[in-house]
Amino acid sequence: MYHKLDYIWNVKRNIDVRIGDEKRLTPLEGMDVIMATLHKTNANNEDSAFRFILWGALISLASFLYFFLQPHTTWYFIPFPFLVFAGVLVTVANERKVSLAGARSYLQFFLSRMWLVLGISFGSVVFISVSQGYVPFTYTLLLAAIGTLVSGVIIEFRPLIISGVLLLSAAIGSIYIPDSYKSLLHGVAIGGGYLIPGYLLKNRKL
Amino acid sequence: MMPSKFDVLDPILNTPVRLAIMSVLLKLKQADFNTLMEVTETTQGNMSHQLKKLSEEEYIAVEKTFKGSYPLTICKITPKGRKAFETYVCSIKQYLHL
Repeated sequence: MYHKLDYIWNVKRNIDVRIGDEKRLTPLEGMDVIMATLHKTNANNEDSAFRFILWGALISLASFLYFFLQPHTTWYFIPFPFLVFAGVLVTVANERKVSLAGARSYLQFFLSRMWLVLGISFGSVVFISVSQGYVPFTYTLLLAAIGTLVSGVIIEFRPLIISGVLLLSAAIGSIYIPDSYKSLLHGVAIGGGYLIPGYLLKNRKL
Repeated sequence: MMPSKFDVLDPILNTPVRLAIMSVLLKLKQADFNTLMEVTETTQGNMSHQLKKLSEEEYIAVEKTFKGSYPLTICKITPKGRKAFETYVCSIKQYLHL
C-alpha cells in the first residue's frame, strides 16, 4: 500500500515538475530565477591555484639551483630551460584537461590567456636581457608582480594582492643588490609570492 | 483565448529551466551538462529537452565530445542567445519599472 502511494506521489510530482518547467514566468519570477542562478553559479579557482603552485615550485627551484651552481660551473643557467620546458608541458596538459572539464568562467579564461601572454613576455625578456648581457631577474620579477597583482585584484583574493605588491617591491629592491644574489632573491620572492597564495587559493572556500 | 499580459516576453526564455540555463551560460564561458543540471536542479531528461529547444532556436551551441571514454556535452551561449537574453532582461525591467 505504502509503495503504491509513494509511486503515485512520485508520478504526480514528476508531472508537476514538467508542467512547472513549461509554465510562463511573471517578470518578477523571471528576475528571481536570473538572480538566484547567477548567485549559485560559482567559478572555481582551481586552475589558477594549480598555475601558481606549479610555476612557484619550478621557478624558485631553478633560481636556487642557478644561485648555488653559479660559483661552480659555467652551465649554472641550465636548470631554467629544463624546468621551464617541463612547466610548459604540464601547463599545456592541464589546459587541455580544464577545457574538457566542462564549466569554465570568462574570468578563468581571461586569467589563463593573461598568463599565456605573460609567459611569452617572460621568455622575450630573458632572451633580450641575456642577449644584451644583463641579468633578467629584475624584469621577470616585474612581470610576475603584474600577473599576480592583476589576478589578485580580478578574483578579489587578498593574499595574491599582497604577493603582487611584495613581488613588485622585490623587483625594485633587486636593482640595489649585486647580480650574483639576484637569483637568490628571485627564488625567495617567486617561491613565497606564488606558492603561499597558490596554496591559500587552492583551499579557499567559495 | 485572451492573450496573457506577459506574451511579449520571449516564450523560449520565459520558463524557469531555460532561463536558468541561459543565466548560467551568460556567466560561464562554457558549461557541461552536469553543471547545468546541478545549478538548475532539474532531471536529466528535462535538461536534454530544454537544451534541445534552446539549441533549435540557436540560443546556445551544443558540442558533443568525450572526456576519456565518457560522453561530454558542452554548451555555450551564441550571439543570438545573448541578444535574446538582453532583450528579455530589458523587457522584465520595464515591467518591473526598474
